Amino acid sequence: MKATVALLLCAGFLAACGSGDKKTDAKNPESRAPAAKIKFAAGDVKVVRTGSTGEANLSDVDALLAATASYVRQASVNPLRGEPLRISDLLTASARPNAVGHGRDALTDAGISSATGSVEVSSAPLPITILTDTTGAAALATVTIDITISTQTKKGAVKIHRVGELAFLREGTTWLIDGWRLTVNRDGKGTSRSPKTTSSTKAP
Amino acid sequence: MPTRDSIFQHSIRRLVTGFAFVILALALGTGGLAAWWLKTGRMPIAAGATYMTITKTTSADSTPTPGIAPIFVLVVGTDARSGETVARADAIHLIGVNPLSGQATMLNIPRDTGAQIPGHGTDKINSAMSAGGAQLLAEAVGNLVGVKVSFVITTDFDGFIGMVNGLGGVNINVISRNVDRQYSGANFEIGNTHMNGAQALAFSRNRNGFPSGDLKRSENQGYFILQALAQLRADNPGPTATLGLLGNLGRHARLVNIGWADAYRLGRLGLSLDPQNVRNLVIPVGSGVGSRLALLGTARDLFNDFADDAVLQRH
Repeated sequence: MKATVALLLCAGFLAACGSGDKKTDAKNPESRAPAAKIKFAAGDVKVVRTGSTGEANLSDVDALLAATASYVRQASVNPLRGEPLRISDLLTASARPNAVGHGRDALTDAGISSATGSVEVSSAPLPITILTDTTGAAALATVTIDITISTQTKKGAVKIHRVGELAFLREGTTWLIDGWRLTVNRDGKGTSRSPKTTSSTKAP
Repeated sequence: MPTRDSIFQHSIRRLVTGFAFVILALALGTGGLAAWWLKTGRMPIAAGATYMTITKTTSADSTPTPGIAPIFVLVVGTDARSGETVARADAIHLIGVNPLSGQATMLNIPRDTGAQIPGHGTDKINSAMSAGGAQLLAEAVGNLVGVKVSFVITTDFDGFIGMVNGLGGVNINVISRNVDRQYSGANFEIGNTHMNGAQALAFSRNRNGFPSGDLKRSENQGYFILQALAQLRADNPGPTATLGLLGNLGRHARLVNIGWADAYRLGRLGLSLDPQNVRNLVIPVGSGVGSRLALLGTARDLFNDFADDAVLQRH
């Protein structure tokens, strides 16, 4: 018995774009590149039931897309704009200890030269899988990402391609990242000091 | 000629049972495969049969730092026969996993080991299961070793066979001769062997073919699980596939006090473990009072070494 329901919410590409064309001074927030507006579209949405009920809830889908956008903003875009890395609040207590070392390199883009231009984020629609508990409520979810981030730094261009999966756990009304399986490739002269390729595919 | 649907369904079934096995095995690790061996008959596994029960103990939430602190899981095989609700734990494997280092240790505890059973005095440790279920057994084992057991995974003879067959069998590198045609039916020479459920059971239940009897059997059970885990990791599913398997796991596992987040993490934790980083050993025991086994003098130091971080540095 298949306990999954496929829902095609949106077809269309997309994602987010940043705007801004001013040069950036990391020490002066006023002159940083404008914050990118990040908005993702859902790809296939599947529901895995552990009980007899459970359907895709649009509010959960929207919340997961928003959580993914927050992650991209906090983990990649803001650090590229010279802002501090702040992802702790996006992770469950169990996931935080894994956001170090290779896990941190795969999950974030901290440590790359600050952007001097706009930070562009592009993505295909994001496939989502939601696990519902025996009452039919969403409990866990994964979002499959294939995201490209491009910008310019003083050292040159930066292009970051991150693919893989994010696992989300619902805590109250909030979806927090509980695990990931990501591979990131960084290219361009602006990435000379950062890991070119990092994978985090074991735990979590 | 198989149709695409039949091939798909077979593949799904393998994945589902594979995941069930991983949760059992690993959740860490190991060995529950044990007890079944004691049963002489076996029932056919029906579709949707329950392979295991996963219980979250009352001490599970006292883990000081999630994601960092070692996790201790008890894998148990009972001697319950079909329809029986009270059973003894005849295969007892305590698995400690260190999430940070990716290392683990599996302590195989002989069923006749004498221990304090909370509220029931001193007895063989396997009696804790019949006296108070998984929770009491977790307390007895935890007190014996000096750890807090967070989860107990219980299975039985039928579940073990069902899991192995669901996997399509398991490839085992037999490193020591395992032959006992009279009782267990084991007949394995050294070398690589593909085992189905019944053969895996025979391999794991054989104790008469070894001078050390139950101790060697317990060790073999752990070895079998690690070999199976190595095979399963070759198809290591990612988070999305894990969710799909969790949904189906619900049809093969009974969850007691455990949420889906815990089940998911157990599965992911298990899949993250390289069997080569898992130590497998039997606790040191010798003759004791009556038919009970007593801990040898080196046991306490072994337990202390194990309890602090689930990794053995001195043994």
